[in-house]
Amino acid sequence: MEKNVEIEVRNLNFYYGETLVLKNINLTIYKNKVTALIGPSGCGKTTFLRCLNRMHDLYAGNKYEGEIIFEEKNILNKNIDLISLRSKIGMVFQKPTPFPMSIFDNVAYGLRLKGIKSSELKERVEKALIDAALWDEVKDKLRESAFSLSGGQQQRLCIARAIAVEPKVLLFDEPTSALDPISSSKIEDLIVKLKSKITIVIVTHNMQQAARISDYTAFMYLGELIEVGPTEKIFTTPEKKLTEDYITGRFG
Amino acid sequence: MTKRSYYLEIVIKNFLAFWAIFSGLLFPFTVFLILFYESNLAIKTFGIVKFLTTTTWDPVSETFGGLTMLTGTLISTFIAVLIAAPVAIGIAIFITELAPSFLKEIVTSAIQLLAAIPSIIYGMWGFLVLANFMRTYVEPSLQKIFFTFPLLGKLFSGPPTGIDVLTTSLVLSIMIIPFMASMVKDSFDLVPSVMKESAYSLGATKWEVIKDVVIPYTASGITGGLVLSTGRALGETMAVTFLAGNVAQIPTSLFSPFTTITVALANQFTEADTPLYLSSLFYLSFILFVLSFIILSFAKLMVLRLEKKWK
Amino acid sequence: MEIKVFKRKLINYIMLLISFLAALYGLFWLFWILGTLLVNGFKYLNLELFLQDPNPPGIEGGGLKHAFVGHFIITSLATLIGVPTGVCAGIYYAEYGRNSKIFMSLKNITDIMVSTPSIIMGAVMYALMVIPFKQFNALSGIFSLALLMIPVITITTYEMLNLIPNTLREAAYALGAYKWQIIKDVTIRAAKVGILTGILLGVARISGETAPLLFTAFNNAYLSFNLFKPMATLTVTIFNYIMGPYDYWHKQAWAAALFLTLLVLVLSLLAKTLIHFGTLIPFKWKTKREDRF
Repeated sequence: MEKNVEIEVRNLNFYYGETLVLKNINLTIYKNKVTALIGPSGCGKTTFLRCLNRMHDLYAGNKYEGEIIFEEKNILNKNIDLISLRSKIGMVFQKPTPFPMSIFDNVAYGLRLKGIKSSELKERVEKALIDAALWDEVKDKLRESAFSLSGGQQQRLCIARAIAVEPKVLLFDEPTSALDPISSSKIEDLIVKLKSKITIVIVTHNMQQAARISDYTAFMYLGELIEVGPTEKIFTTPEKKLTEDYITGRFG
Repeated sequence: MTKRSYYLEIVIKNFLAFWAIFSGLLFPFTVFLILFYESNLAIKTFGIVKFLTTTTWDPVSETFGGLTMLTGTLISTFIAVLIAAPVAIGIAIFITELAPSFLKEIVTSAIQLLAAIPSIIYGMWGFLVLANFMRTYVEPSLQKIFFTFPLLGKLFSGPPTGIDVLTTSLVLSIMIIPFMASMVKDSFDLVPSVMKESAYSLGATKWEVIKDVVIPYTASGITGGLVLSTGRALGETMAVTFLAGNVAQIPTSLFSPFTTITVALANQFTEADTPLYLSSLFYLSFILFVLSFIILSFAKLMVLRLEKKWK
Repeated sequence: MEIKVFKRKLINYIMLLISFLAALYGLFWLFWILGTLLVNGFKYLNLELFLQDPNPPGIEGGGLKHAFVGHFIITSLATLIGVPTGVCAGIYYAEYGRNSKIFMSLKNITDIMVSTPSIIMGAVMYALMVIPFKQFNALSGIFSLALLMIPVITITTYEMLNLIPNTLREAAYALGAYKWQIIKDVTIRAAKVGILTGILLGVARISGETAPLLFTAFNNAYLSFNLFKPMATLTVTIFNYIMGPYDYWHKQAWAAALFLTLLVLVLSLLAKTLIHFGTLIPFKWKTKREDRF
């Protein structure tokens, strides 16, 4: 695998039960870049995202075909240790999901699972909160419940929690769709900042957001990958007509 | 819109309202009043504290004290809940997190079956089958194991008849497991999947997700379910009547026969031949009603708190 | 690092194994109890049980016709009283009282009454009807069962009506209907399966009750249709027979217990199947993936 490639997806098919939902996806995700997945509702972008950290395994009746190469291994292989995989490929969800614990314990959760304790724990929690642009707002109330934070702060808390374990890849599933515009832009700034350390894949139904923050954009439709390329190219001179129709708002 | 419809609206609304007020206010209030009224003689004769702290229950000398019944009720309920709670939580975990879909249906249906069995069946089965089994095999073995321990040995002393605190609490616990399990399961179902997925995406194992996210999230619902089951166990009559032994004493060991409020009521209501005797029984009913009402209200509050958090 | 993960996985495996054992524990009791019931009850289940009156105590044979009939009478009359009352109350809470704090508190109190000890109802009816009449009577038993039923039916009716989406009601209002017309023609019709389910469950519950009958309807060695006299019921008869000294009494009690349990289970099963196959919520918006464009 080339040096700047983080994940290589080859011939990915995905089934919900008997229904083929993702069809023959081939995609390269580059290191330390932001790759955006766009497309109309139901095109399969979130389904695809959840293949990358094998989130579908939590539910019965799903089947993967093909390969997703990460760290020189096919992570769709049955022998892959999902626990280690998920600490290397993290996820941030559409709605903020703070755990019923204090702010500190939330961020520390993934670290504690790994057995990290006391002083190293404190350092890494602080670092994660700083990197998530939340430290100044919470440093005096680390012991308070996470529910005392606003929606935008909670989402940044979830991001801090995800980056505390220092994953190589971070998956974002429409992270700002439940937030107000100010919080959204804070998170967008955060994502751009984070990419220097982490590879980022973001699903968004907001095309302007994709255009603002991503380096590469992949357009999906009805479970297929229609077109992928550098963001600027996709948004100015797309190759496929379908892409152009979507970008210009003819449907979706 | 005719005048007739308009008046019908008012009549119907008031008619329905009456029954709503009946079920939510008049009915419980009437129960309270009647029990209180009938207990009046006993309350005047024995007072509150004295009745609750006297163990004598003698129809001949007409001295009545409710301590033996009260302790019996509380002890058997406590032990039953102690046994049932971890089992119920385990079953709920199994159903929601572990079981493959076909097993899920089977186990859920089996639990519902257990819940539907009338309490008298539990009582008679306990009396004719379990009690014998306990007397012949389980209790002697327990006695042998524990009799050398100083404090613990006391718990297992006395002739193992099978009609005692242990058997009663055991059957009681089996009776409340289904209800408790379904309440815990319902609470677990309220946890949004994204919450659990967030934990999984950090690399947590299934048990870690349950321990660190699901259970804390549903803590008030689980507590509510536990307390609700306690309230129900308090009022259980038929199973206890068969298995307690109806002896008005404070049990000193798990193998002692004892009595509870419901046992006393079930056995003695038809025997009460003096006004004071009858009034004392009503006094017991009154105490039972108030006690269970308080506990059930507490449970309801806890469950409402969980639902409010989710909204 | 590998060891740490292994340890966590081990703990995970052990805890989940324990929860599996808990489920097995529950199943174990179920099978033992139902098994004994089936084996013993079946042995002694015969036609005489249903068709003959009991013999004088000590003389083998005879049946429990008086108890079957009495049980049926008391349960059906209690249902006749309890169901309309409960349904009316439930309708009010769901359709008129939802925005009133007072009525929602009353509903919560009703919910508490659902779990109140059943023997309390017996005590109350004893005071209200047995003492004045100076004898045990079936009517007091009927009312104590009805009182048990009312909160149950109220709450299930309320919850079923609550499931009906408001859009349904709004559509009817937009056509200019009165509230009672909407309830009668639209809401109840939509919830009717659910309400029926609640009724079945209520009947199942009171069919198995013993405690409230112990000193209200009491018992009767003979077949009787007189509501002002004591009346035999299956549950109380089972209780007396088990506590009694005769072996044939025990056998008949097992058979009666089997019948009773099967009755209750069938009612519960019926209720469950109704929910599965009946239309609970009339309009389910299609959200299949293929339909989404």
